[in-house]
Amino acid sequence: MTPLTPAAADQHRDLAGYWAGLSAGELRAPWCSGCCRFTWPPRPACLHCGAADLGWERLPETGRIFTWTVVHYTSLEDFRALTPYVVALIDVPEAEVRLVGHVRADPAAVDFGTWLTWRVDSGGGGVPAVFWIPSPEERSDG
Amino acid sequence: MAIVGKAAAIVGVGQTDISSNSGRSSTRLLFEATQAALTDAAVDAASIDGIIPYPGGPSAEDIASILRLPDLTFTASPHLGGASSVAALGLAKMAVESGEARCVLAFVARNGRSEARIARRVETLPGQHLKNALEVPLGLNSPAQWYALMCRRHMHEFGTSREALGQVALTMRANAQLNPEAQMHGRPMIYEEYVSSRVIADPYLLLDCCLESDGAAAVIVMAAETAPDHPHAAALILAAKQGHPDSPDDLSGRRDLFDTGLTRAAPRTFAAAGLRPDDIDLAMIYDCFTFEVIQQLEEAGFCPRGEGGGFVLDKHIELDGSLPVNPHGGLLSAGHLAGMNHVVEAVRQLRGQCGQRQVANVAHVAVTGWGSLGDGALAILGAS
Repeated sequence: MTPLTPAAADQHRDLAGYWAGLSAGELRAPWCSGCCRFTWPPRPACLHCGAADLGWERLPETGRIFTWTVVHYTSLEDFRALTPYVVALIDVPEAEVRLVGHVRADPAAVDFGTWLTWRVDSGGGGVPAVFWIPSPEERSDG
Repeated sequence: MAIVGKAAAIVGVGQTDISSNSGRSSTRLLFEATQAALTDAAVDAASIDGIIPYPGGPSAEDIASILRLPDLTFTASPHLGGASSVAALGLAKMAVESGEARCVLAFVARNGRSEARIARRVETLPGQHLKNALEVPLGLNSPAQWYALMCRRHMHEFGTSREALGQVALTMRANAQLNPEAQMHGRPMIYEEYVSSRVIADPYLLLDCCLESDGAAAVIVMAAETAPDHPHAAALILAAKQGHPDSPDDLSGRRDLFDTGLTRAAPRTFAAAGLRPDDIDLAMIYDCFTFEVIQQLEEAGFCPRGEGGGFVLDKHIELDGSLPVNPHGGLLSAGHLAGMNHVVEAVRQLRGQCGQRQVANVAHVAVTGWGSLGDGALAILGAS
């Protein structure tokens, strides 16, 4: 079984809040309380105002596909049984970030702009621990 | 263009056989390619006082010790993934023209198929902690997958087609039939084979992906004023510059996926050379995947962004087209020496040494580098 998060000693300090979030069942991103914006990927300072003391906040649950690939061949042993699987760049409009996401969906059901919702397998052991599924109700606002 | 003072030039090139299993160490391959380049330039090994190794392979110290170099004054290693070979020409030019070194060796040497394949090599790229935490645990870990994300978005925004990707693969394979040193020499290909090859990371099929190869390539850079000492015409490095996209170590943070390092490097390289894309007779494009040829044709300025697919479908890149690309067969069909084999071919084309695949009247060659999620470099070489 793959542990949900790496041992503390193996965690990069700029990503500790990410792992803490997954352990709590949440997808979190660095949040600047000065300019009230998220930063992604996690960096040791706010990408918008340069403030160095960032907190971590839960990301909004919905995003939409910017682009994606369907992986048929992988060198990652844990993922071989999942092929073909979808990995996407997902826009989270409410947070103004784009991030890589594993999409648990039929590749044929995926398209540009498809709305997705993130889930965390907080029981641990699932691969991957964080993933996106098509949003239960297709949103129509764009 | 007149040869001015210390203007840098490539005065010797060397390359080993390219194979899927060399049977030699990468340092041994480096030694062979270096000896070949020194012989080609008619230069003694002891003259080498600058070394620019490709990142992740044999070091400057490895070759300096074998050659028993008496006094090494300059070493540097660019870190632009696959763009490092072209970036190395920029460093070599700076070293020679500033007087930091008189004779610079730049090289790529590796067993890229039989030992350190791509999945291992990318573990040395920048931003590794981000990839290890935010990508690999999600099943994303290879260049084919990263660039498939870009390719699909380009297809969506600009209508770039499967047929255009296939045209790149077919052109490289056809060129390789004219190059006895190409790994795919003797193995011609038709579109049906291309389009029915297995899916790797959709939209990339197996035959959208470059080869993985064992081998080495090396070049010797000296001042153009030394040209009379060398048997072959010097290839002037008119300009060689690098560029980096925003969020250079991470795709998710990049505002515009198509605004890459090459987008920034190309205008300043052409300006420094005093040339325009129209002046280029031959382009050596870092063809790690089919779409990256289309993308780099656009970003280097050979056609507008979004029109690269049509450009290749109109057969401009074929050997008898308006802008022949990779006469040797490229990374896709000749072999993958991280683009240093593109530099070697550019020099041989400028000298007129390429036999059946020789492009007529080559005065200016552009060589692109692409790597590490979108770092870029461009060199413009000219006949002396």
